[in-house]
Amino acid sequence: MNVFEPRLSSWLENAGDDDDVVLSSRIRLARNLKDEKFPIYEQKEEIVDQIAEVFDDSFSLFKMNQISLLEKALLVEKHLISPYMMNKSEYGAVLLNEEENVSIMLNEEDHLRIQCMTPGLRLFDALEAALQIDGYVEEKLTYAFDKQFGYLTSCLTNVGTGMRASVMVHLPGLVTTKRIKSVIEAIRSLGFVVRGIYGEGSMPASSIFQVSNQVTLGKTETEIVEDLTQVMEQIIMQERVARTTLKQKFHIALEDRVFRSYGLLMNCRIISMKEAADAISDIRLGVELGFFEHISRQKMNELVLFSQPAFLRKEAGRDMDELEEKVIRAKVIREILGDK
Amino acid sequence: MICQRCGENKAVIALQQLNEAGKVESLYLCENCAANEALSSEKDLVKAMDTFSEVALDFLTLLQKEENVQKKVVCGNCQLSFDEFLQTNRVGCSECYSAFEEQLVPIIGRVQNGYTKHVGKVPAEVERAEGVQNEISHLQEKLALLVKNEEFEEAAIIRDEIRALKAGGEDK
Ligand SMILES: [Zn+2]
Ligand SMILES: [Zn+2]
Repeated sequence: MNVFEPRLSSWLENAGDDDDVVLSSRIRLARNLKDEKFPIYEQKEEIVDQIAEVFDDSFSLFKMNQISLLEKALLVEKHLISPYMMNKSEYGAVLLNEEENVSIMLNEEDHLRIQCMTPGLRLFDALEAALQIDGYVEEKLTYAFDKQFGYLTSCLTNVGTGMRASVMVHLPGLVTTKRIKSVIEAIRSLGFVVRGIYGEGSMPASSIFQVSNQVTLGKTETEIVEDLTQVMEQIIMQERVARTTLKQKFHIALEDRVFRSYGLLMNCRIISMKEAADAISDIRLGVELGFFEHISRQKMNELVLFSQPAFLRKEAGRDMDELEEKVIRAKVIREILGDK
Repeated sequence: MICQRCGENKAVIALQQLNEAGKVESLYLCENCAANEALSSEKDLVKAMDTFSEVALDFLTLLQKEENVQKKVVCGNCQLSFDEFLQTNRVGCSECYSAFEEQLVPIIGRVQNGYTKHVGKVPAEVERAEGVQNEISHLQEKLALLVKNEEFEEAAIIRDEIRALKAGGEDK
């Protein structure tokens, strides 16, 4: 299995719907086994084996107590396991398929967390894939389920469908035109949660945001996915309008910013995560606006993924201090960008 | 705790306000009064909704702590007490939902925008069992009617069908 090798998972490599704005879609189902204590209070290794047995060998099992810390960190950076699983889950494990678009975490906060990812805005495809796996597990094992509360989860914010649908979007147009705040407020008022990715606070590095459903109870899975898809379509439209405005009214200023960021990444010798993420975001926008013909969207995803701390250590084959990390990051970025 | 505005209903939320002395004061309100408070200033509506979901869980947790000091509720299956739940906001097992039902329902309503009933997917096994159960009740009604009308021959057939269903056979 080459999951630890520097390569893109299928959902970051292939094209998807509306992928000028949407990076990826994800469905997560939280499930627990009946009669067993939830793993946050008691973790049992047998449960991992019991669940893993349901899956055929198109899935590979990785147990947290059998892989290195670096390998765990690589899985976190690939969004295939959660930081919680890396840090807290002694008998945690993850089942991954070859394409890396399905990740089933075992003994995380719940016994199972089935996650399916797709490129672009394709929540329904992800939902279908997740429900198929869910049905497969359901035939062999009995879930904790209640007629009133639905699928029972450790946290009350997941109970019911146990489903979190989320979409990762790149919104540099709305950020630059300063419309992002009102857009985020509007999304929240509709009952969705917005988070910045790759950075803290409301103005994250890289202008990448994650939008997901807040409520998991009282709506069907399909309704939740329909609602979120509709909201996303609105956001996509607004982002495109903002980009067109920028291109028409501030063309030279925009070009200047994008090409300065390109110059930065092509020439830097020391660079932090935050500085790199912001510059990558500018170039990603430039790629979408047709400023660069030789750079693909996939290359942008490679830049984001492989400039993270664990991937740099993997690349160097050793641990390193902060400064050295910035030096290696600059080198890796120059290589990826310079490589046609 | 009773709502400080109407003095009638149970308080479910604390609104933070500045008093004249410039100190932060908590106003404890019931659902109705809190909603009115939020509506009274249209501009702050979005903000209020945000505060609702974020603050509500913490506050409800506090309220429940207050109310449950005397009666110690413990889940018989995993031995988690409701107090321990309040510390982590995580239940210990599926049985906790019935053990703490009375306490959990208002919290679930709060974090789930007022919803307390699942309407989504049901495990196939549960769906099948439900289907069989529905059919049995339907047949039992029919049987009662047949017996009442003294149509015993027909009733015997229905009775056998019910027995077969109860025994787990799905065939007719
Ligand atoms: Zn009141
Ligand atoms: Zn319990």
